Amino acid sequence: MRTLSTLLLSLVMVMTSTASVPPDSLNAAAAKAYLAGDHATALVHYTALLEFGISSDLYYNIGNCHYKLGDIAQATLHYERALKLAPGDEDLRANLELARARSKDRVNELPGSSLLAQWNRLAGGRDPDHWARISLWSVTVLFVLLAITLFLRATKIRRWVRIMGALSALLAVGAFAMASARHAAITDNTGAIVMVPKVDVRSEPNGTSTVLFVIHKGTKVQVLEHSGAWVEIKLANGTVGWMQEEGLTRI
Amino acid sequence: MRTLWSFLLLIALTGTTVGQEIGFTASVDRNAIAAGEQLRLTIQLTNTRERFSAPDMGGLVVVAGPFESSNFSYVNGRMTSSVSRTWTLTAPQPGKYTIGPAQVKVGGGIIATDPITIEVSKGAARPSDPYANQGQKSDANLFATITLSKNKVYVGEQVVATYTLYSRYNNLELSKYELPKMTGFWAEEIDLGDNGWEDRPRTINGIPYNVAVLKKQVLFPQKSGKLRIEPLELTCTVNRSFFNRGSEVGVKSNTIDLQVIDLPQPAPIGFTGAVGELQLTGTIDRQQVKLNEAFQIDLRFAGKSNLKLLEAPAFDVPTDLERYDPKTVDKISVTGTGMSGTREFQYLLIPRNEGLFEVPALELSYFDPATGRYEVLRAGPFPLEVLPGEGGRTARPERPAQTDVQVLGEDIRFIHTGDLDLRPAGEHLFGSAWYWAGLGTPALAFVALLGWRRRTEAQRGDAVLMRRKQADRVAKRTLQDAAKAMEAGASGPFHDAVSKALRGYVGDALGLGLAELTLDRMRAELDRGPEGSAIAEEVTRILGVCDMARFAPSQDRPDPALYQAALEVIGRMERTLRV
Repeated sequence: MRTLSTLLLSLVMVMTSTASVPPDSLNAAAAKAYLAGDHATALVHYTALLEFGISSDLYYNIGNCHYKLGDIAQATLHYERALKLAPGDEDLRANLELARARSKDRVNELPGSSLLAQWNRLAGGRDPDHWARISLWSVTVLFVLLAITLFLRATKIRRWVRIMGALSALLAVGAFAMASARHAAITDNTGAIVMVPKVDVRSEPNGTSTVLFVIHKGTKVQVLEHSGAWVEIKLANGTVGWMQEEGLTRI
Repeated sequence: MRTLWSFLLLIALTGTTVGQEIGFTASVDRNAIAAGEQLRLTIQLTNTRERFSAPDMGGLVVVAGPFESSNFSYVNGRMTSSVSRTWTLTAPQPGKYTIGPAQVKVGGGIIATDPITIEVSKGAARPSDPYANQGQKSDANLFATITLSKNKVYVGEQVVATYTLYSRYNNLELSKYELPKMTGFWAEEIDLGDNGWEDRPRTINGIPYNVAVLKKQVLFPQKSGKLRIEPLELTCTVNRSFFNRGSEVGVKSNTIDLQVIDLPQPAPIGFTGAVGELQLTGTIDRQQVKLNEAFQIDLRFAGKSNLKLLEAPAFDVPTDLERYDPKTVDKISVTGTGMSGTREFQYLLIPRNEGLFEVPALELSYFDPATGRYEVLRAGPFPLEVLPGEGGRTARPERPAQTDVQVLGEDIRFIHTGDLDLRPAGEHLFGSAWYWAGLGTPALAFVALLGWRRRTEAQRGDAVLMRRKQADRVAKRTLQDAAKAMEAGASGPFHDAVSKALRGYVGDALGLGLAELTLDRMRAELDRGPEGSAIAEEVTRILGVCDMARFAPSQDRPDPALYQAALEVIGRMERTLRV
């Protein structure tokens, strides 16, 4: 309780002072507090940094603070948010695994989803704009090569330039596809974390239908459909049911 | 009757006349006693029956006596008689006492004994019993006491408890006795051997008692505070004899409170729990040892302490040494002064790797109640050289036993402290205006480049290049006219068109003016390219045929073969002249 009140107090203080504190010094102060074991203060600073923007590292650090303070559900939420931006971050995956292991529900993932995760890890990297940037570069290279062929007279060199042009065209198409897939994944907000201690998941979007299963705080679900205050959710193991939306926080 | 008279006469005679040597001696059973102890003084007068007075006792207190006894003996016709008087004396204070001479008048003179000197030391030999007075008040004939060697101790410090029975009965049997229950103590019995009544009675307030030490214990208090020792209760049967069943008397001793002080906190790291006086010696039996050969490190604790509670110290060794559980060797004795002796821990170690090792120094501590401080005990470090073993190396390669890296704890990874690279939420490069602009700009730039190039070429009026570029197209257009003429069957226009197309193409392609377009010049220019002579030959042939037809119209009909040949040679030139 005391930590909560100090947290709120310092949150207010930080809120009023964010305008004057540059993000770099806020980040340094947060890291210092974290190192000193004062995770509540670190959390306040990092949360204040959200005013300036988001990044996978920031979400990761916030997740760490929540983990250290014992709030596993919040830690999972922020790790998942970071994971959306940087599926290739090793530290993040390790910590998320620990947080999942400490949450109450153990949900076995469907076969094949680990392969998908592996692909995401390889394709996602740590930079959300990675593929978009590659597609831009490859398009630029393609047209530069085309321009070069305009002025080239030597047949042999022209052939090489043409081959490279074809490759960069392929790369441009591929990178565009990847960038579009990453964009879809980042903007996808169907993922959510259960934030209430216990939720009954029912067969229909009303309070009287059969309880299919019970999930607990910290479990990740995928939102499929809406019906009033109710949402249809799907667990990683493929189980589907209805619950009230207020128990969820979107990733 | 007569014989009786003669006997009495005989006695009377011996009393006066037969006694030859008169002896008068004073003796004590011992010359040195402790204060409160007793000694016996005996004065003996031989061969006379005079009365003698008690000597000056010189400050010694008469506890009992005098008891008088007389003795007659008749040996080999000689009769000896003696009278002796015995006193039991005690000295309340230590010091030097002199028993003065005793005197006796014999005949006309006076005989005196020699004075006797008694040394009285401090009453250390027998501690005074502070609870005896109290016990005596409860029952003057029979009582028991519990005494402690100290009244104020630290937790774990040893204290000796003595259970004593005082009795004035001649005949006493212990029928039942119950030791008090000890709570908060760890107790160790002291072996008293044959315990029974002490030789000498003790005097309490002038009354002598037979004393028996029933039991002695070394107590180690295990908790702090006031610890109470409950009274010793026993039942004795007294005055039992052949004729008498005797009577039972209950005895209850005093209670006693022991003040136990906590050890100062915090205890240092390596505190063994020992309280008292302790010494530690660490020895290693070898400085050099062969691989896989055992050696031994001994840790020997010696002193006066609760040694039996001492546990083998945790003791780090390099991982390449295999350590076995220590063997404990005790030489501990429990006596009236407490528990003392040695406890030795023998560690057997086997080196599993060669090299120079050092078993690190061990630092332990104990609490010394005398100084009230923790004292440090040190042993080691023990350097050790492990030499290669014999034979084993060649027979099989030495390989250290591998173990998995042990995971000792689990925690999340550390935060990322670098630049956070913040960007506004919901802003993505993909799909943004900037992205589409970035994608479209190179394409637009390329198109612009193409247009710019066209325009500049036209502006520069690069006629040669333009002609060269358009040579093929112009020639083909002219050839189309030839094809029309061929269909119409007009010989003149056909050959005109073919000739024009060919000449025009060569002129355009080679950048020659109409005036320069002579056959020789054409040949010379064409010869420079690959297959030049063959092409030049063909061009000359076709042009010759055309000229023949134009100026000497012998052939009426256009020849499709000629048309084909012209097309072909233009195609060949297009391929070869193009750079």
